[in-house]
Amino acid sequence: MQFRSLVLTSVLLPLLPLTAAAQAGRLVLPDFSALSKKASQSVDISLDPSLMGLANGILAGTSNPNTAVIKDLASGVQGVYVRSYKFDEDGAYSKADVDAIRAQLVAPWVSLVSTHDRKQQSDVDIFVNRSGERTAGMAIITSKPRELTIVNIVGPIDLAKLGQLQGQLGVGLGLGGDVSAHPPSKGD
Amino acid sequence: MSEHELERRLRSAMRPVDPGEDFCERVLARIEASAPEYAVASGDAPIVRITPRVRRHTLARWGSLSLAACVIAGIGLMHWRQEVQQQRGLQASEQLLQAMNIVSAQLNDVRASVSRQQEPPR
Repeated sequence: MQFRSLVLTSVLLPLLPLTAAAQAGRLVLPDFSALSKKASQSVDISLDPSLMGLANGILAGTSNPNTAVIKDLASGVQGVYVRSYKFDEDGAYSKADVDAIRAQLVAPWVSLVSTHDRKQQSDVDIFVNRSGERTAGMAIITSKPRELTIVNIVGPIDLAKLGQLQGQLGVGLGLGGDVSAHPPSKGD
Repeated sequence: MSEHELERRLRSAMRPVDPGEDFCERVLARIEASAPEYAVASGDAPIVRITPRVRRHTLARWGSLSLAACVIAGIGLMHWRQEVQQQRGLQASEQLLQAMNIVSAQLNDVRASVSRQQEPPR
């Protein structure tokens, strides 16, 4: 019995750093259900490792050239979490909603890009979680007067490949143009 | 009767006889016929005599049916699970594409913002 425990421990122990590394890039996203009710359009995506595995399995079976970059990019990713809300009027969300996430973005998280557009009144911050040469996670926070978007990608992500997404998918798509965004239900 | 005559008759009576190919079956049939019978009575219904052979056949038939039902149910369950996994996978891949669309849009926002800041003032 003791031998079995010893074997089990020796097998599981080396896996602990891997689990810790995977969780290192994960942010705790607050409950945004109140914002979701106020939003004219909202997107709530939570893809955990098991769902990522299923999604990668499906994408691997497709030969669509448009999804080739995503297939390549998502192959090592362990989770994708998106909260995106678009409102009909300014100031529908408070700074405190974003601060709860910003508070988590301390070392080993580092700011990669931070832009502030006074004219557009928009802020975009990109953070990466680095452990040595590896990127364990990524966070994007976009706050505009009528839009709040938080993206958290967990796991090793190739920033060069991510750059390839630019112009391939997002041009002119935005949140408003995305047909798959969930409009709030009538009761909200 | 002389001693010689007696010996001849005994030899004739005890000569080896071929039992035939169905000897085993006949023995088994006789054993079965002599085995005790079981009676089952239910209410006013007549008593049904169940011989071991009938019982064995019934058990074998129900056993085969149960086995077939288990195999069919197992295959059905496997297909259902595969179908559910496929649906979840499709939904997850659609969500992944949507998420990447959003990431792409954010990156475009950053690029646009950076380019605006780098433009020389007119």
